[in-house]
Amino acid sequence: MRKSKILLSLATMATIAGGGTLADSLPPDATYRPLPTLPLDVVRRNDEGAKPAVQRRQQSLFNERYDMSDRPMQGVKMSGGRKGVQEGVRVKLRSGTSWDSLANMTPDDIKAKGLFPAGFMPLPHVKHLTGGQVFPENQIKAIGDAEDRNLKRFDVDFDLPDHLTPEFPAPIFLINRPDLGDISGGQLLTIRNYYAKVVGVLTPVQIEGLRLLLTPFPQEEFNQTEDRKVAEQSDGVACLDCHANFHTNAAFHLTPDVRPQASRFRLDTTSLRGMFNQQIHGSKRSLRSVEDFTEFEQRTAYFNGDHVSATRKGVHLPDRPNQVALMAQMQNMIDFPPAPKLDPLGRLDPSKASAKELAGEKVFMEKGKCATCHIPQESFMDHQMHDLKAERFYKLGQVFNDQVAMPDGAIKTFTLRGIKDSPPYMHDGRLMTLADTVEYFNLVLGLKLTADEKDSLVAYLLAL
Amino acid sequence: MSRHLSVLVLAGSCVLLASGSFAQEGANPAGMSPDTEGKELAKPAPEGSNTQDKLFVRQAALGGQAEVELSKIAQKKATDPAVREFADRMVEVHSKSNQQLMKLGRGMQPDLPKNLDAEHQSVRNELNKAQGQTFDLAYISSQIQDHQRTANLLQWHISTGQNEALRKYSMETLPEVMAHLEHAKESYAMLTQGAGSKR
Ligand code: HEC
Ligand code: HEC
Repeated sequence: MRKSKILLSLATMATIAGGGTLADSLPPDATYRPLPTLPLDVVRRNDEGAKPAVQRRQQSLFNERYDMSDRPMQGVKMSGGRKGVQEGVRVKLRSGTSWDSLANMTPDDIKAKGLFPAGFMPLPHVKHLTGGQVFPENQIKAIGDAEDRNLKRFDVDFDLPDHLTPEFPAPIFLINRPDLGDISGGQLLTIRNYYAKVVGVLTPVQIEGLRLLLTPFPQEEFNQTEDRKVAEQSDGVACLDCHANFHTNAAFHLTPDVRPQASRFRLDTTSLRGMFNQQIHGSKRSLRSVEDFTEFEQRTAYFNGDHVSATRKGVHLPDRPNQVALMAQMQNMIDFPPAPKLDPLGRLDPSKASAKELAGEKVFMEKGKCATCHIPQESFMDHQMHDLKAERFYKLGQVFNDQVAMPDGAIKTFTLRGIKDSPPYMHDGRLMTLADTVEYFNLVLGLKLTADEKDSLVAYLLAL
Repeated sequence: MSRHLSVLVLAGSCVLLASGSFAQEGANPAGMSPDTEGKELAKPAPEGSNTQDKLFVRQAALGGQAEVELSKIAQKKATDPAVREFADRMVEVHSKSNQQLMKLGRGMQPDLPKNLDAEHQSVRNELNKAQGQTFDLAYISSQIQDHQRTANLLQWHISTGQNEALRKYSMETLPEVMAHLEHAKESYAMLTQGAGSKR
């Protein structure tokens, strides 16, 4: 704003009653969570009544955007060996287009003609205007059985089918005991069973960190007030309710960092594997330490970035030296799953890798430009955030299931180690398979890869 | 629009509007006013409206009116042809949009503004005084600010409004407003690089 204008507006402001308020500023509910106006039983009846339509609406969005079928690849399993990896491109093309024809169009042209596949656009929350944490059925059942704690919301169900989510429970690999391999015993870590599994393996500090990571604390939808989405008063949620076995179970919520509600974006839980090596945390926040992120999760992310709401519902503020440090140390002990074909620099060992995988590595390093950001010797990260500018391809401000499609802006480069274990992909989980991610980057980075190059790239990603 | 119908529309064309745009389907009922009609049945009347709808009509009218009035000044005074073209478009689009808004909001008895608010009056004064490239920059700068506000207002209304027709209006208007904002930001960056001057 230029100086003259500042002066002018200052002069006029004084004449507006209540000085300093713009005539057209937004009301507080554009930023703050409003206090509930109705008793819980009315809210619940309403939510339950609306639920079938809410779920149907999300399913039709999924079916319109993706092929959701269960088609596991021959032979390939996730690291625990219990779940298949889904094959093929699942994002649907708009009629009259092919992947090659799109790759030969300019972003402007694709945008003007509305041809960007909808599956490449931001993915809404199952009930976007309410938002909040949503857990998959497997987690709800396991925690219900083990702890008699209810993670099921009365207003929404988890929206992805099981075959498009990670292996559950995921294996756990420790960086301080690389000799052991998976220590999960095929079970989900809970507050009821963790001790026997780790005594003699972890240090006292790490075990205390683990206890805290498994202890439920109040959260926006799971708490004791009338403003909750679970039938009974709830003890809350635990860190590892989403980061199940320190990996991810595809639980999701909305970013705490954006307002108004319709413009927030969905966040798919990230794996905590290999975090010891990572310099920035959170897809948007770029928090600089695991300690900071640990504090942030309970104080801020649990309550949608609204400290007012947090205070009312009983926020747990972990003590920095005595609790946060311990929780962080525990998280830093988690390793990536084994990748037997990679050498210490993150490159394929030609004596172990197939010709196709080696061809994929070549594409990754050269024509595909992937290694510019996913640097093999740095666990396939670069500790940077990048703006891929996908909105060059579509009109902003379109609304899908109450979510406003906004630009993603800069997002952290995710690691690709163990990547076959963590569908769905991208910060919001908008892509279902690795083949989808290859088509996405092919288009967004303008790579013009051939069908063979794409295939080999997928084979390579599976080896990481 | 019924949910089924809207799903059909969505599937059948590239009209990129939300399927099932009922606020009441997606909204958090905890925040609903206790006198919301039909809330017990999980189907608040789509033709009903809440206080947010009413406030929205007022705020949108305020912004829309300013938009047209300030752009009319620019139609006469802008130097850069691209800026004049932009002003033409703003007058046309926002006049139409204002009419539509008034039609939809009439029943809600919004507290409509009679004149420009004080802030926009001061912008108008400034525009009346400015000349040449200074004018172009001042006008586009005011457009950026107004479109930011309108975009935020529409996003808020999509988040909290109840009236189905009015939410549909907001959803249809938002992409256009965001495109204008993009355009204005670009134009401003170009002007600061010397576009429209004799450089
Ligand atoms: C709703 C499920 C959920 C719960 C519960 C949860 N998280 Fe997260 N966590 C996420 C999501 C989603 C992200 C990714 C955030 C982003 O991309 O900005 C994340 C990211 C993280 C990260 C950063 C990872 C990275 O790759 O940068 C850390 C560390 C973390 N969580 C720790 C915790 C701790 C500690 C707790 C308990 C206090 C916790 N989380 C509880 C969902 C959850
Ligand atoms: C400009 C830097 C950059 C380049 C080049 C790049 N990526 Fe990425 N990659 C990112 C960022 C940033 C994300 C996260 C984007 C998001 O979540 O919106 C990402 C995410 C991914 C993911 C999903 C990770 C997850 O955990 O969900 C995969 C898979 C991936 N990239 C593969 C590739 C491949 C294959 C290539 C080359 C064809 C490539 N990337 C090129 C920056 C890059």
